[in-house]
Amino acid sequence: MGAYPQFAFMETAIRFDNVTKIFSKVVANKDISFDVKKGEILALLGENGSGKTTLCNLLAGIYLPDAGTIYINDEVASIRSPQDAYRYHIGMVHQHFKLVDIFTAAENVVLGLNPKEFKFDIKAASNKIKEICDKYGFEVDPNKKVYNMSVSEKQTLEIVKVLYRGADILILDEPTAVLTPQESEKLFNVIRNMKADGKSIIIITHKLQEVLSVSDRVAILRKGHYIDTVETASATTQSLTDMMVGQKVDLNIERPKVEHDIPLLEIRDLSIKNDEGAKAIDNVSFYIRGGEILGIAGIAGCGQKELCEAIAGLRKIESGDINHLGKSIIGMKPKDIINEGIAMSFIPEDRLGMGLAPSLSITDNMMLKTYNDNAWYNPFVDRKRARNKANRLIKELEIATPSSETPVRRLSGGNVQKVLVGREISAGPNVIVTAYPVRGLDINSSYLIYNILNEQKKKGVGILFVGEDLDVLLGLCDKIMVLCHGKVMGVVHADKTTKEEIGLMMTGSLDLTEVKKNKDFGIAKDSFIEDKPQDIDSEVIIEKFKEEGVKEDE
Amino acid sequence: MSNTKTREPLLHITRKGATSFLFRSTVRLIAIAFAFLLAFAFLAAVTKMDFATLWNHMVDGSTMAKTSKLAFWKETMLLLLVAIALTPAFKMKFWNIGAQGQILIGALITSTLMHDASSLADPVIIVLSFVLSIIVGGLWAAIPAIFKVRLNANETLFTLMMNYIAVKLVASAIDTWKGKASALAPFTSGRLPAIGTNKYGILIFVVVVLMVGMYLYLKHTKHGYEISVVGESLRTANYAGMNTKWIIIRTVFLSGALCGLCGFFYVAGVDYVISTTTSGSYGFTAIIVSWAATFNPFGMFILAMIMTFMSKGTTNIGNFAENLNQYTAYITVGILLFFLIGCEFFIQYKIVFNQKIQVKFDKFSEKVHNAIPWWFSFWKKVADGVDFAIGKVQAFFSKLLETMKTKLVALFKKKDTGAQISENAQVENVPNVEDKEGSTNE
Repeated sequence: MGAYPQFAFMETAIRFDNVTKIFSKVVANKDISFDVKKGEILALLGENGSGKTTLCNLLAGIYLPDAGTIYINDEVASIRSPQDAYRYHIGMVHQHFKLVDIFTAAENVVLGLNPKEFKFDIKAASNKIKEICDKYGFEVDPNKKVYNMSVSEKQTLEIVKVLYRGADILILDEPTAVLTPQESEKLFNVIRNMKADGKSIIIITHKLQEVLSVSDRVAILRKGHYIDTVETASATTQSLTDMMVGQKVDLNIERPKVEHDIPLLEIRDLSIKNDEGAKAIDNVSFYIRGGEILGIAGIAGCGQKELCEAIAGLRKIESGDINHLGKSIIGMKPKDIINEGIAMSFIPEDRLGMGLAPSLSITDNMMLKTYNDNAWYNPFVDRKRARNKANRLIKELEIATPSSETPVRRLSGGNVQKVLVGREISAGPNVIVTAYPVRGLDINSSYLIYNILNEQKKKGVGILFVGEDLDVLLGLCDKIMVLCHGKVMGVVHADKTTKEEIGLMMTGSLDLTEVKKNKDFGIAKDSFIEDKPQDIDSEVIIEKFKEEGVKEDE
Repeated sequence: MSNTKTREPLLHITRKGATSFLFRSTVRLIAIAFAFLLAFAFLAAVTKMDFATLWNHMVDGSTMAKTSKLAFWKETMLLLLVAIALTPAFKMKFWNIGAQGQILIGALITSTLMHDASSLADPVIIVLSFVLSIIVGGLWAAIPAIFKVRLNANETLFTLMMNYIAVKLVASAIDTWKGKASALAPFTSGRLPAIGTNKYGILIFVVVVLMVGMYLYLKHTKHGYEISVVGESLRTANYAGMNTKWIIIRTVFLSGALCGLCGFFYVAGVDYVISTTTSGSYGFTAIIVSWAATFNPFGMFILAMIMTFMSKGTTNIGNFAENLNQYTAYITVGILLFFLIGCEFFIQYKIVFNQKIQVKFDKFSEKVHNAIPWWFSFWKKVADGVDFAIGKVQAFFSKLLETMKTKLVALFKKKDTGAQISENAQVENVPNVEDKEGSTNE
């Protein structure tokens, strides 16, 4: 422990000794050995699939290690169930909340407690929750129902839940993935308070800025192997990335300058309802020009998904207009919208739910949108052509797969996304709507996707990019539109704004449309809606893009 | 690593990744072998016969006399027909457990024509009941499908309940027709003719055609492709611009129509009479045939043969033993189904033993491997052989398909170009048109 003098005299809370966990053929953790001190914040850093969550699940009693030992307070621990984990005072806050929606906060906290150890008494529980909140600076109303809570409130509740059970070691799995910058800062303050109280905290994350601002030490995993533990004070974004990826990585996202073209897609006064019948998008106007990437920022559930679905023709529109090159696409069938040259690739949380059929082969997935394009009297699908396309994409995008006949489900996340994005682009679209295209991807694959999008931008395609990571939005997009509860908070130029400004807009604290009332928001100067310029033929433009897509296909 | 004090559980279960066709077939074959062993053990215990005698009786059940051979093929084909009928619906993840009702409705329509329209000529009755049983069976199945796409009604319950309605309809029709007689007399008009001496020739021919047809339909047509996408994910299908509501109704109609066709064969080609138990439990057994063959009609054919062999054989054993009756077949077929469903566990999951046992097991298997290496090389050869044969069969079918495709396209193309000639009246352009279209096809 000589390398870390200031921690040398601190007691060890957890020690991993050659811990290994293998899932059939995937090595999730291999010979991991490091320790966590009492009263420190340790960030566990690694790319998706590097084994961070698995390691923490071993602590939380969800999996058992295949080999190796975990020591808690210098004693061998056998954590065989989540109950066991609580006995060792370990509490984990999972990335996906495990709360009962129709229960109140207090009810959720006492849910599942052993009645022999804790008496069932909601009132006493409420008092204790208030005590915990006061101690660490939380805000939780014990009587509020979970379905009325915002994402950050739910997360706070999850943390209170584990503290209530007396956890001394807290594991937070990607706690800031769903929070705005301001909410994240609030969370970090609470974490620092807990640290001052002598608790050990492990944060799983891949956001480097946060690692640097909150943690004491950083443990880095790569592909299931433990790389090193470094002190945060001596680390930089670049050094951490290099360790995480295992090679030098250029972290700058390219933003090529492209002459902006005519507005391709114009959206005017659009309102959409969500599945529950509430307004998901409320009177929104914006437009996308050819050769630009318009980013959409907003916290989860602010209406991005509904907006994408409406553009693709998959969701009914309450009022307003979606106009493609002077032609309204409202009421069109999804198939006709695809023919107009509007491509959508939506990567849902499970990454496979929409856009791909997981059990079908890459070849079969290639013809998802084109299987019906040959003559109507030909009852057969043209697999040969789809196979050629699949093989071309596999070569061009370096998709790692045994063959073009492998089911998409068997590919790794990055390759699945390459298949999806590649197919959408090969159709020669003039507008691409893409939501979370780098969700769950490692850094290299992410940059490959950015490059693909930039290539399209240079060709004059208009791109709508719904993203999660503000750093990426700021680096890649030309303009960023911020949504809050379905309303536009403003459109800002990515090179003239800050993360903080966008964060404020995401929560609705800052509304640029209010600030600059005199400006017409979301209406292009050369709009097609009022008067269509004579010299532009939309059919010709659509065909031009399509031909380019086909040319690639040969 | 060695100082592990953590007490690991003895074993845990994890999901398997990709499995080869050979592995899956081997597991299923082993399951079938075990099923036969257990069934024989049961029969031996009850009848006090030895295994050899039992086996002889069992084989005799399907092959002894000409009549039992015919009956074997009849039952195999009927079971296969229902399994084929259910396949498109199940592949689309539409849980159609109403095959029984759809069969009965097809049978009822056929019976009505044979009973009430006996004044018509036989061929007229046959063609009419053939067409009508298909249409009515399809419509009967389409009702739950329509409720499913309109109101998202649960199709499992709906199709099941439709069975009871069909049973009661048949019961009331029988009551009306038989009047005061004790049982309904077999219908005399509208019977399917025999091909040569084979009473079930038409049935066998139609089912074999449907078997190949269903294979091509699911594997190579646009409809088949739509079915697999809808079965995978409704959202993806919508996103791809498919008319999912229509696809669901169309596919379930097809499924019901083939079930209705089965009802037609039961009445017009096999029994010449209808009862509420006409379809037996085939509607449910066929589900397992379809699943266990992973929706491959050729696999279903093999499974249907094995099942019929088991049930016929057991019935025959029952004839020789005093303390058994024909219902014993239900027990042995039940055992077979149990093993077939149970073996899916070993296909999808694997059991992981803890480290110590695993090490011992590895050592043991190494010893076995060293002791009898020929055994493994033998299996390797068998595996290669099977792979080769499958490749040949697949190549044959894809070649067949290609020829069919080109023929079909060429047929329509002639019509199209013909129309163009008359419209344009420019004969010189025609070869160009053909060239262009020919090249786009390749």
